[in-house]
Amino acid sequence: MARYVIRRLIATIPTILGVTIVVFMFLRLIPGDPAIAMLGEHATEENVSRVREQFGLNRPTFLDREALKQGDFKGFINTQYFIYLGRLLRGDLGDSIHRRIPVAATLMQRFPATMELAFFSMFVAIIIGVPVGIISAARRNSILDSTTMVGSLIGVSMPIFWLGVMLIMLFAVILQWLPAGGRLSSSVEFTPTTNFYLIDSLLTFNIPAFVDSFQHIILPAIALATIPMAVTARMTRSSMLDVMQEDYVRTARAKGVTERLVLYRHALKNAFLPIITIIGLQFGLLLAGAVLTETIFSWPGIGKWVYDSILARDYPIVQGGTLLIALIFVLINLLVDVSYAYLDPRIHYD
Amino acid sequence: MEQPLLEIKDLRVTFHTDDGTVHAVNGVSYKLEKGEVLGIVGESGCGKSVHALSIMRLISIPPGRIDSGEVLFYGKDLLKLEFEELRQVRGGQIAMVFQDPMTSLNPAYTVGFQIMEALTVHKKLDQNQARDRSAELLSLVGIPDARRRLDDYPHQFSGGMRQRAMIAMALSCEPSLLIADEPTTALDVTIQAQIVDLVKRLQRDYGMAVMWITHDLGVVAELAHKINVMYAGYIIERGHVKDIFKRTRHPYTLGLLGSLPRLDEAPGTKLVSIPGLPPDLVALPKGCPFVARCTYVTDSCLESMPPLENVGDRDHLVACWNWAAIAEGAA
Amino acid sequence: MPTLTPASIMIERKMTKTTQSDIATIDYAVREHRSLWVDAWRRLVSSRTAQAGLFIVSFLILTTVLAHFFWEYNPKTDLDYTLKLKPPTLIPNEEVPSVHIFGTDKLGRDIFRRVVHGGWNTLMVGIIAVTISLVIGGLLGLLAGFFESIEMTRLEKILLLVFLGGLMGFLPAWIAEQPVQIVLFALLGGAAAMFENFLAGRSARVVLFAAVGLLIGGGLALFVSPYTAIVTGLLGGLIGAALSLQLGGSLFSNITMRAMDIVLAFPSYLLAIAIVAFLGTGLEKGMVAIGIVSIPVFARLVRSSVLSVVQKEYILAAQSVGEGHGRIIFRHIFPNVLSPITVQTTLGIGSAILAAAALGFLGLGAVPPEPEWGAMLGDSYKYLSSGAWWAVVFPGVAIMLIVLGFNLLGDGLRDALDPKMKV
Repeated sequence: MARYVIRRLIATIPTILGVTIVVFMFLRLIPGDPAIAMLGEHATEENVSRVREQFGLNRPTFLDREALKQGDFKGFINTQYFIYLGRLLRGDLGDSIHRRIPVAATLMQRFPATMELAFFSMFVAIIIGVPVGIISAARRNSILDSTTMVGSLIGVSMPIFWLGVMLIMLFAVILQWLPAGGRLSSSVEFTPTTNFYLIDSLLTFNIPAFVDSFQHIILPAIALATIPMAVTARMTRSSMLDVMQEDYVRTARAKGVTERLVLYRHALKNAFLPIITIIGLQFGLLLAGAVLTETIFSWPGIGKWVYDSILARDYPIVQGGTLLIALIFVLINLLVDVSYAYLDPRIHYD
Repeated sequence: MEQPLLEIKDLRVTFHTDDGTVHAVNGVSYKLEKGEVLGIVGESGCGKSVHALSIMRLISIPPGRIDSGEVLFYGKDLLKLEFEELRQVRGGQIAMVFQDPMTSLNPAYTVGFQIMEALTVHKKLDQNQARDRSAELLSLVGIPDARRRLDDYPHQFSGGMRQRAMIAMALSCEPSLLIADEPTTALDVTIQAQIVDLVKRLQRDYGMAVMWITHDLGVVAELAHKINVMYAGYIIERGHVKDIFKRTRHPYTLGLLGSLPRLDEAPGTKLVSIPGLPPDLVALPKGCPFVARCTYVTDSCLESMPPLENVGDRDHLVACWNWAAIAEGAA
Repeated sequence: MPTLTPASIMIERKMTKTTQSDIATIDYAVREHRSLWVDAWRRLVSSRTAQAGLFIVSFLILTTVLAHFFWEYNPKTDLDYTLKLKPPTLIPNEEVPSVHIFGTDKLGRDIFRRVVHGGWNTLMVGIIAVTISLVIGGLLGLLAGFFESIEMTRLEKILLLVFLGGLMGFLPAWIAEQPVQIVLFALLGGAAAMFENFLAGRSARVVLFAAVGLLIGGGLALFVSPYTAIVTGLLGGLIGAALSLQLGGSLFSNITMRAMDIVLAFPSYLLAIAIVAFLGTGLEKGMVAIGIVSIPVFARLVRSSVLSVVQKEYILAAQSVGEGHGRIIFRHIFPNVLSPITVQTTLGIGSAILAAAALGFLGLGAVPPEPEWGAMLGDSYKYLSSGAWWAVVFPGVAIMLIVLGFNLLGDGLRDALDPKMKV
C-alpha cells in the first residue's frame, strides 16, 4: 500500500510540471508587452524595469541558445521558465505588481477562508446528496424519486452566481435574516489564530463569534453546495441502481438479509467507487466556483482575490491562485485513487 | 396423505416491458415432497428460472409481476407472507444457488463474511461460533485449508470454488429445500460433475429436498427423482425419471431426449435437433405453444392448450392432445 | 384416435382455415423490424424528461434564431436614460410610455429584447465550444483507445515514429538552429519502425540508434559551436535510444492521456477564466477557452468507450476476416461509441453555456454593450439593493432554462440510447 502511494505520488510529478508550464505560459497569452499590460500605458520607466526584472522578461522563454553558443551552460537554462520554476520550488510565487507584497504569504493567509467555505459546502452536499440518492434508488419511480431527480436536474442547471444573487436578495435584502457578505460582522470581537473562523471560535469558546461566522457562511455555502449536492445525489442514485441489479444483491436477499442491510451493506459499498470519484471531481469544481461565490458574497478567500486581481491585471496573483487550486485538485485526485484501494479488494497495488 | 413440503398452485408471472407483456410463467402447479430431488428442465426462456425466483419472491417488481397463484411451503402461502416472515424463510428454510458464481458473490466482502452473514441472520450465532461453523461448511463442500480461505475475497477463488462457497452459504442454515438454478451451466464439464456429486452427497446427508433447474437432461438423469419439463411457461410433462426417459409422452420431451448424445448408439447416428425457435412470449399462440415445431399436429393443437392429464399409474402428467398416439408409436 | 400427420402436410391441408401468414406468426417471433436509432428515437419522444428537454431547447432555439434574423437590434445605439431601471410594464403609462414586459436596465434598455437577442450569443458559445472539444477530444480519444488495444500495422507504426522522431527532433533542431535535423530524426524514427526486427530486444540496438542520434544531433551542430554540439548530441543520443525501443500504440495513448491529465488538473472553468483573464476579454476568446478546457472530457469518454467496444468479440471477428483498421474504426467502433458521445455533446452544450455565462458575469465574456445573459446579470446585480430585481431575475431564468433544457435532453438521450436500461 505504502509503495503504491509513493508510486502514485511520483506519477503526479509530470502532471504537476505540466501544470506549472501551463500557469507559466499564461503570461505569454497576454497580447503585447506583459509589463506594459500589467502596469498600464502610463507606467514609469522604473516600474516597468522592476516588473521586467521580476518576471525575467529580458531573458528567453525556455532555453537560451545564444548563451549556449558561448559555452555558458548556466545561462542556457537561466530563462524565464526555469527562474519561475526555481522560485516555485522555494515557495516563492513572486510579488504582487501593485501592492508589492509576496503573493505566497497572502495566499496562505487567505487559504483557510476558501477551505472553510469549500469543506463546509462539500460536507453539506455529501450529507444531503448521498442519502437522497440512496433513498431515491431504493424507491425508484416513486413520487419522492421523481421529485428529487427533477430537483437535482434543476440544481445542476443552476448558474451559481445567479443563485447566489437570488439568495442575497431573498434572505439578506428582503427578509434580512442573514448577512449579505463577509465572514464576520465588524461588531463581533474575535482574533482568529488559524483563520478557520468556525473552528477557532469554537475552540476558544467564543460563542458570539461562532454564531456570527456561522450565519455568514450559510448563504455562500448553499450557493456553492447546490451543484455538488445535485450531482452527488444523481450519481449515488444511478450507481445504486446499477449495483442493485447485480446478482450478489439477489444472493443477499435470497440469504434472508434485511432489506436495510441489503441496501447499506451489500449495495452501497460496491456503489461507492463512482460516488467517491464524482465527489473528488466536485470538490475541484467547487474550488473553481469559489471565484464566483466569493466574489458575490465578498468572502475574503483566494477566489475573490483572484477575481480582484484579474480586474487589476495583477497577474502574479492570478497565476499563484490558479496554481494553488490546481495543486489542491491534483492532491484530491490522488486521495480518490488511494481510497479506491481501501474500497475495492479486487484492485491490487504493488 | 402427508402435507407436501412445497405445493405450487397455478402460478402465473408476467413481465411488463416496452415491447409488451411477456408471459413468463403460465399456470404452473406441482408438489414437492420432503427429501425429494426434482429436476426442472427446459430451454432458456421457458420460465424455469423465473418460476423458481418467484417462489422466494426474488424477481424484480417492476417490471415483473406475480399475477396469481399460491406457493404453499409447509402449508403457508409464501406469496402472501409478511415480508419479515418471508425473510426468515429465505436462506433459513429455502436456500438458493445461482447460475453464475462469478457474479453471485459480493466482491467487496470476504467469502467468510458472506457465509457468516447467513448464520448470524438466521441462527443468531456470535462471531466466533459463526466463524467456526463457516470453516466447517467450507471444508464440507471440499475447499482445502478452509479456515484460512475464509478471509479470501471472491476474486481470489476459482469459478468452481466460488460455486462451492455458494453451496456452503446455502447449506449454512440447514434448509429443507435447496433451489439450484443452473448451478453448473457456467462451469467446466469436469467441475460440473464434481458439483453434481457434491450436491448429491449433501442431499443424502442432510435429507433436504432439492430443486435442480437445468437445460441438461443428462445431469438430472443421475440426480433427480422426478422431472418437470417446461416449455413456454407451461409444465408440459412431469413424472418419475424412469417415466420421462422410458415412457416419454410429449413430443417436446422426445425432442430433448433425441438431442442428447448417447454412448450406446451406433457410431454415425445423427443427433436429432428440434427445428425452429420457442414462441414469442409476448404473443403466445392460441393453441399449444409447441405447435410450430411439432411433428404431430392435429386440429385441436391449433385450437387450445391441452391440459395436464395423468397418463400413467404414478404421477406421470402430460400436456399433449396426442399423447396416446405417441405412446402407441413408441410401443 | 387422432390421425398422425407430419406438420407440412397438415399445414397444406388446413390452408382453407389457417393462412400461410398465420403459420408464420406462430412459428417465429416476427415483429416489426426497427433500426436501433428509430427505436431510440421512439423511446426518446415517449420519455417525459426528453419531451420537456426537446420542448425547451427547440422553443429557445426557434425564438433566438427568429429574433436574430427578423427582429433588428443594434446594441450600440440602444439606450434611453429617461427609462433607467423601470420595472416590468405591460400597459404604457405616463412615466413609461412603452411596453417592457421584463422591465429596463441601468441604461434604460428593454430587458426582454436583450434577453431574446442574447440567446444568439449563448447558443453560439455552446455550439462552437462543444464543436472544438468534440472534434479534437473525440479524435484523440478514438485513436488513443484504438491503438491502445489493437496492434498497429507496420505502416501506422512507421507513421507514428516518423511523427515522434520529428517532434522530438524539434528541440535539438531549435537549439542548434538546424531545421534539417527535424527531417533527419523523423527518418531515424521511420528506420526504427521499418527495421523493428533488426537486433530486436538487444541492447546493441539501443546503442546503435543512440549513436546515430548522437551523430545527427551533434554532427551538424559542430558548425554552430562545440558547446551546442555537446548538448544537441546528448539530446540526439537520447532521442535515438528512445526511438530504438519497440514503441507501439500504447505510447501514443499514454502521451495523449497524460497531456489530458494536465488540463484536467485545473478545475474546469477556472482554467477558462484564467486563459481569458490573460488573453483579454471577448466572447470568441471565451468560446475557444471553454472548448479547449473541455477537450479532455471528450477524449477520456471516447477513449474509455472505445476500450470497452474494442474488447467485444465482433471486433475480433472483423479483424479475423482481415478488415483494415480504418474500416474497423468507422464501421464497427464508431457507431458503437456514438451514443455516449451524443449524450455528452448534449450535456456539454449545457455546461459550456454555464461556463460562458460565468465568464460574462465576471466581466470576461461578451464585451458591452453586446447582449449576453451572463454579462447582463453581472451588469445589473449591483442594482439589486435598490430593488431592481427584474434586471437580474430574467437573464438568470433564461440561462437556467436553456441549460436545464439541454440537461433534460441529455438525460432522456442517455435513457433512450442505453439499451441496458431498456427494461
